[in-house]
Amino acid sequence: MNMNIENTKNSVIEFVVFKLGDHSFGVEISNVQEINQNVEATEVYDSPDYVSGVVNLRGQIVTVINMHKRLNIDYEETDAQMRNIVVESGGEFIGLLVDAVEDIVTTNSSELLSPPTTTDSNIGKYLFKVYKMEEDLVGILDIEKLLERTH
Amino acid sequence: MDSQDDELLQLFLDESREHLDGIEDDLLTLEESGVDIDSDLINKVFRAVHSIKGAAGFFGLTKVKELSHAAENVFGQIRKNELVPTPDIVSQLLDAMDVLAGMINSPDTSEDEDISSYTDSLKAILDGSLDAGEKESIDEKILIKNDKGDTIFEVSGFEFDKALKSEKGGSFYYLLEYDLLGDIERKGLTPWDVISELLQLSYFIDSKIDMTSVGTLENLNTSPDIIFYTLISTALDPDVMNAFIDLEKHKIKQVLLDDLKNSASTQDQTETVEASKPPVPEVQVQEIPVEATPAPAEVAPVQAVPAKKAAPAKRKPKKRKSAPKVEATSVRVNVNVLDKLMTLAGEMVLTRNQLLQSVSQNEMYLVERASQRVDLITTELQDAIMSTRMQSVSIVFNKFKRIAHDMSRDLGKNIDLVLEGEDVELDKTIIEAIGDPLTHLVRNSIDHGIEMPDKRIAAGKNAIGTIKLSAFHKAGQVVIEIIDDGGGINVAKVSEKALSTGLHTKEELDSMSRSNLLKLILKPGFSTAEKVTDISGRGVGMDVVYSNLSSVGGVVDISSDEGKGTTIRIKLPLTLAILPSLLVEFEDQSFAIPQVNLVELQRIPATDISKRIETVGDVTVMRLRGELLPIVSLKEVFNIEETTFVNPSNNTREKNKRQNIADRRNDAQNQDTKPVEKKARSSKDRRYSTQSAINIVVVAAGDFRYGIIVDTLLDSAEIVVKPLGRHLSDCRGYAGATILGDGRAALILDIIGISQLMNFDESKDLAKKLAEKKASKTGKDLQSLLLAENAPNEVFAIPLGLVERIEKIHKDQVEIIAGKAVLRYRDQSLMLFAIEEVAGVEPRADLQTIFVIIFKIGGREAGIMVSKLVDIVEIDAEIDTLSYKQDGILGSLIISEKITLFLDLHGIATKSMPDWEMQKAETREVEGGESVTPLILIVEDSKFFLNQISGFVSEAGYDVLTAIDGADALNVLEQSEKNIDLILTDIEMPNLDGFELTEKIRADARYKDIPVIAITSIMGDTAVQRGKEVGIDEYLVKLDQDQILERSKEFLKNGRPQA
Repeated sequence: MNMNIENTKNSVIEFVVFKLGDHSFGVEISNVQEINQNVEATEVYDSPDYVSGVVNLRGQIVTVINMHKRLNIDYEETDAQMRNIVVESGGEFIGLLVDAVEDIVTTNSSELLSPPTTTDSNIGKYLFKVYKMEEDLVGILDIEKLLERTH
Repeated sequence: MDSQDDELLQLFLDESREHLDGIEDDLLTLEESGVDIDSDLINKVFRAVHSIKGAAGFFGLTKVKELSHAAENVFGQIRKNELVPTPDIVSQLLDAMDVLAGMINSPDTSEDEDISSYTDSLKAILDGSLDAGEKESIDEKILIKNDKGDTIFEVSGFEFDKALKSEKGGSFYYLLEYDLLGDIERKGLTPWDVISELLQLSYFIDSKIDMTSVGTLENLNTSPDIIFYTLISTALDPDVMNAFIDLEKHKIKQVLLDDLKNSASTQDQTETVEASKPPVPEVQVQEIPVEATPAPAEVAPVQAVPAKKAAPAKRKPKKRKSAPKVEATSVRVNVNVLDKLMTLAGEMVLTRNQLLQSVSQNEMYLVERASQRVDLITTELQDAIMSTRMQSVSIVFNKFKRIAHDMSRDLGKNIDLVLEGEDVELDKTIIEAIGDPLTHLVRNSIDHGIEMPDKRIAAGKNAIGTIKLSAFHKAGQVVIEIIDDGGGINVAKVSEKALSTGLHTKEELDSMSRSNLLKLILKPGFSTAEKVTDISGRGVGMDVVYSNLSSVGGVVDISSDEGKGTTIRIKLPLTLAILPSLLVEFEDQSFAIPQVNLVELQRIPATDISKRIETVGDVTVMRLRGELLPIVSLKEVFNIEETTFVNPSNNTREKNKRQNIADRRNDAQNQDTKPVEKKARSSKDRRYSTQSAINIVVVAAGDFRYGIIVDTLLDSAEIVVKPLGRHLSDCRGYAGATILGDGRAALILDIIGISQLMNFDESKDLAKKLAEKKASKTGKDLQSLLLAENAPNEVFAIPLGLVERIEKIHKDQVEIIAGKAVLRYRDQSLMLFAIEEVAGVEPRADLQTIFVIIFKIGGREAGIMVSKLVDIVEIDAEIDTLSYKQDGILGSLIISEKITLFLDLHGIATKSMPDWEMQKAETREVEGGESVTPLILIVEDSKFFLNQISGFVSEAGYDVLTAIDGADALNVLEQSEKNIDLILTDIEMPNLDGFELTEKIRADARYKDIPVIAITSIMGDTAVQRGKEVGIDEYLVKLDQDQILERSKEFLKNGRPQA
């Protein structure tokens, strides 16, 4: 595998690790506003299919993104573990609906690897780093890319 | 500058903007008044510029200061009645004010602005108004220095004179030194406070912030002060000065310049100036009082700097740089309103406490009382807060005076701009959004609407064109009207353009109402059409106007009388933030429909659905008081694939089986195609329960109305509009979202957006829909009849199935060739028949327009002329074939309690054109002339149709057997001695219907090869589908004589197509 070790900055990085099916992903904690229980979203008909709906977050309308659909990861019925990770992007709050929040990891940025080129391109294009956590590979998502408006 | 200074700067900029806002208007008024100057007005203008000048110095905005200073000088002269504000002078002042406003709106770049042309021209004006002595005094420069001998200000003698004579000024001049830190900030003041205070009691000659004292290394330790110098003129003498100015004594220095002046300037000082000057011995800057701390700095010996006479500045060709737009970030609030808000906030807190307490005590009645109070207070609070956002439209209106002024000068037109209702208030956001569109409209009116004076006189109009701009309240909305008495819009040119740009077809245009034609100019395609602009006046950028106004919920309406003028009416909501709305439910989800779009609510009972709702082409329409309104279900709008409904029997939600809202009985036919539905449904299964009534919300997008089908009507509520995130910005059906009482998010429907999504086009009006009606999808055995009038009040019915389409023509288009009426049409000529030529009825009313109902006969098209289209009805009424039967009329029936004559299109055509009949006869000769005459069985339960069909079939030479329903038909088949060669059958019949009959026939080896042609009133896709499955070979329209005969002939010749 082609993993180049990033050797520029040696800063501490914190990220929230969550599950989508069998995959583990992370978002940088600085992007995260809060993590909520999954509440029933109001469906928005005619919206992009990865939008699961809108919810009220203390008076603000938050678009909830179904991460399974966004990343093209097969969907399986999951239990009440589902969480809505609210991130701030482009001046608005957006919810990322994930299967479960696993952990919050603090590590040195030198521990992060470049994503392997072999990654499924559907997912790969949204990753900006990969972190090896025990047996798991955690794909750290590039929030801005992930939340770019696509059609 | 630090953030506090930023804040101050902002304050200054805001205030300056406010000063400048009104100035334009005032100047125009000044120009009008000419010599008789309103002194209050000029004082106001003067003060405005003066305060800008005063504060600009503090912020180091020297260019702003210079320009406002130059303008101030001119205003000063006007104020003294030494200068008459001629249009030319006012124009230059206006230009200067524009630049000033521009600089204030972008303070960061103001220093780079080249303002010399403006200051020069202002100076030239000033010079022109001065007498010789004053001119001298302008060129004389007096240098004012501080203790250290640095020159702080360079002031002309004229300035001092002006100060002396000004309102707040006086014979004492002081140089004040404020230490920014010690004298201002440490005292808890802001420079702004100081400036305003000074402006109260003195006249500002100049001000400056001394930055030079900051940065130098030597005095870094000793004097880190930033000194704010001001030079003022006041009537306060040194003794009382201390009492007014909160400044250490040594920082107030009196400037004594009398001698200096005398010695330096020429001698012809005016008497008054001379006399008012206190006799002061020395030219000095003195400290007051006499405390002799640091030695009085010497004031520069007067240097009358030789004046570089500014060349009498020619006004530069105008490059009218429009001031960069700045959205105001702060609002001024009336103190009373603020007080009220405070009181309400207090009330709110009290009530909250009550509420908390009563909840903890579990006292329901107390909770109720408290919640009532919350309700009341919230409403009041909302009103109060909203009122802080309300601004009067005068903000927008007033700038039009200037536009009218400038444009009429440039174009050489005479224009009288009348403003009305300027105090009508609208939400700030709306005020901001309508500025540009209105400007565009007004400019259009001036530029293209109002004609040149000579043309107006030639047209017998007043040479002065009038544009009336008015705002008023109407039905909870604000209406803004722009009315001009100009040339109006040439509708013919508009439609010509629409045709040539391919925006619409000729037919569409012909069927459009005048107001819809006018509205075409709002379409995007029109904006590029230069030609329309030249000829008829409007068109450029109107689509932008339209979309801008639509974005704030505005609705545009145009009416225009050619030669007389144009009226553009804009309806606007009062506010955007809070929207009174109707909440509705669809698919268990709530949606809000803004009240402004709401027209009415319609509940159609299940029993009426078939009567009131039908499908025209691919549009479902509802009959509402004689009008056909398109209706949509949100299912269609949002492409929801599967919908549900509440089963009235068990109150559970089930999957909906209906494809179409007008589908009722056809459900049964869908069962095979839809696996969801297992059990067969009988016709009794129709949902005749109260709960299966349809709720329709009739809404208006502009003046176009349509209906939205919803599951449940909930409640009306005031909702707070929240924007949707960026991922949803492409969803055109929503105007935003809101939060409901239960905390859930709900979407707000965008009524205009939905009408666009659905491609509802106002131009597709009734006539067009009627023509499309042929493809109707309902499968009932009802006759769809087109009702039309020929003579007034004489109604004729034509089976819709026979109508190819309908054209609306002008009566001049009808040509008479060899005694026959002909319409030239798409390079062909279309035979036109008049009913009265064949039948003994009243002649057609002589109207400008004629509707031509086009039908096919003998393989060609022909048209029946009528004067008016009345309606489309679906009826099942028995047709009386006795009372009114005559040539061209098959019979009569009662529709809406009126006798309606059933037209015999075929009869009319053959009577009018016997030649055509001859040709038909020949072909029939062949059909009937076979060795064995074919035998045709006609199955039809309606006596009328049975007679008609068997009539023309036997007339064509066939043998005919008849049966009155499916069961009867089977009997006839059984008993017939001869073999039956073809069966024509109706579908909807008692006992055994057409489908069942065909099934039985196909199941029987004896009959299975007999071709079966279904003849129905209206064909639906589902019915056709079902028919195919059971073995029907062809679907034809009842009374479509040509087709029935032709297809029969075909089948008789070739037999059933082998499957």
